[in-house]
Amino acid sequence: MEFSEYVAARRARLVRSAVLLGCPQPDAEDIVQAALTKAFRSWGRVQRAEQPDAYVYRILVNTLRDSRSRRWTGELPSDRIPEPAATEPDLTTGLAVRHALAAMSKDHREVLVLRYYADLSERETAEVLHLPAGTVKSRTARALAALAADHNVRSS
Amino acid sequence: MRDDSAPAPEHATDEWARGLLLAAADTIEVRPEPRPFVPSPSPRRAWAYAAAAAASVVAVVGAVAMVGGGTPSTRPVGTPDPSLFPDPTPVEPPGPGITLADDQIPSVFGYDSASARAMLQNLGLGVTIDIVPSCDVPRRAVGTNPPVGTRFGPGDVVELQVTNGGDDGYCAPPSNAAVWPFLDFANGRGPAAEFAPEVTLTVNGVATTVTAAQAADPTSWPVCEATFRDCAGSALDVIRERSAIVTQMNHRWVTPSLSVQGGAETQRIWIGVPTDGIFGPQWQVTLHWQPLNSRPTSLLTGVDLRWDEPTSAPAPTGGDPATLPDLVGRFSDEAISELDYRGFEIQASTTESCAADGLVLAQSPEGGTPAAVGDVVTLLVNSRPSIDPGHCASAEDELRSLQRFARGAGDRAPVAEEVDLYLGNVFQKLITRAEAADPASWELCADYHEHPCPMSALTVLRDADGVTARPIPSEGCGGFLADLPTALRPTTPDVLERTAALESPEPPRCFDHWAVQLWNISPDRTAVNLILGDH
Repeated sequence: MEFSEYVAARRARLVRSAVLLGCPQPDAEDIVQAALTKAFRSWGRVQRAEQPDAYVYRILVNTLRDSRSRRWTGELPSDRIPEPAATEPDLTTGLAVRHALAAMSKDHREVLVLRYYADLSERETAEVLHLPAGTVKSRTARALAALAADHNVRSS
Repeated sequence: MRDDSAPAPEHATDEWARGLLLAAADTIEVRPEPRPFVPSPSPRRAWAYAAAAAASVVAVVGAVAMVGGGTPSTRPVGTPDPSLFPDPTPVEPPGPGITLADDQIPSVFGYDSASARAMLQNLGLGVTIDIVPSCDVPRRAVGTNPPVGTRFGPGDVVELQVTNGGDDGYCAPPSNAAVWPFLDFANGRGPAAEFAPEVTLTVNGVATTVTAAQAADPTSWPVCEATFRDCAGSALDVIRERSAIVTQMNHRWVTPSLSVQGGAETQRIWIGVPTDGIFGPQWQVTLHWQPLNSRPTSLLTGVDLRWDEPTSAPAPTGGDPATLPDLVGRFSDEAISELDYRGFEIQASTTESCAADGLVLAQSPEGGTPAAVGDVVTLLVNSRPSIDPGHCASAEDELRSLQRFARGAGDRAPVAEEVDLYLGNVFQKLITRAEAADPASWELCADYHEHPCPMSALTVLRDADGVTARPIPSEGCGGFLADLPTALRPTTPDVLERTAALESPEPPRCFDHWAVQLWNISPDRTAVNLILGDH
């Protein structure tokens, strides 16, 4: 896949992933831009990777970590409701999930976003996060339990 | 602890989670690409793009506490004790910081092509230029081959890697274009930045207005109070020091990078070395630009230098900043970053063992001890440069012997001189070989899945059938529960060979799984981890 095709196909998902990972929305597009720029510099390697998405997500996660992302708390903007997307999303559920993600530990948030939004496998998630696969498995189970236990998610 | 390990309910399936995450993502509006990755006709267009910004804010943030002086010739680095790093380029400790030796290739971060070439030639190196594809501004030095830190001799030739400015026409205009010249000015390697007629220079909220001519003179810049934190001087001094940092991570020398974040009206950038995301106390420099549409660059109208209070940042691993973190079992670069972040002084020594290279094997004072900023923390770090894995005893043999001992064979425990006892992956205590002869020494008591005290690996071994001689698994329930302390993670094949486990058959629920796991850390040190399922 050419770089431009990849950007066209994945950029929105990467931006949303960055926000779900805790990056403030106004910064997310720039973070993704920075990550994609890094990916472009080694696009040949990305293309040859077994799973290009995992490679790019690894760059994205590293970019987030290299930035001041540790200070971000994943707070939600409360001044307006986002525009509905074409898929007519369940806003109540979606916002409840975002609140739940923001309240979670970074470790739990990362595995949920990478496994269930970025659709990476356990092994790919482990590679992105530099963790043993077993740790990803256990963290995912705990994060799922935390999500399921969230009152707002349950009642939405 | 129990909440953490509570299993997800049955309805919490993968598909359920995917649906929720998709719903969450759908609440996030994404603008169409504001700055598409399209061919940029020329670098000049890039400058024009930068000038189009209505106003931009630039922040230069240092990621680690500064050590040493700030001139390029002294090449201060961020890690405090070279004895932590056995190779590839050991250096001598010159005092509180580390300095690259004169025969080590220096960092070229912050240099342009010409100044980097001159600097390297002044060291006696021959220099060839390698133009590398990059979306950054052209003619910036981005690295060398051999890399920074490599020892060299007189007349050696180094390849200087220089950006091509994205001349293959596939880059967005670099958002840091206006910043590099300012960094050159701060580093004394370029003309004064283009200042507005009046420039506001602010230090910790105290503003001073100077003329453009005064701003062009670094000696007229206001500085922080010398007694405040680890004051570095003026904003220019801070930038210069951050640019000169070199640190070592995973045995490789790492130089800073310049990162830019922002849109058309606001930009934030920072300089720093990777610290695994740990950002501690730091000076922050923010630049304010006033664009002039008729010019290729913006005018600098203000520079803010302020101390970014660490209290606003979450501790990297939680906990009370006045309490020493438990660093045993973590890798030395992480440990140093955390100690540095918390303001502790660090001393370290190394020892050879079968454990993974760079692991912190011990610390003094111990984790959890009350401590004050500036206290000295001593780390014992593992080095494995010359270990022959063959001299480490078979973990399987050791576990079989231990099982026989648990069943009453012999009166001396067949263990190493020291045994670390873990319960549920959490270190409990260390017992000596002499103490291990008494089964009571193996008894542990902790809040662990509501199991009654005492709990003992010997008891489990005694009552269990056989020893499954295999590495600690990464799959199945063994892997599920293998959220191990770093020290016990089987990171390399030869470490894998030194682990053995006796485990329950795969249970219906992983939370019912139990195991006794043994790590042959070194000839004189063993770790035994007892895992018990939900009670």
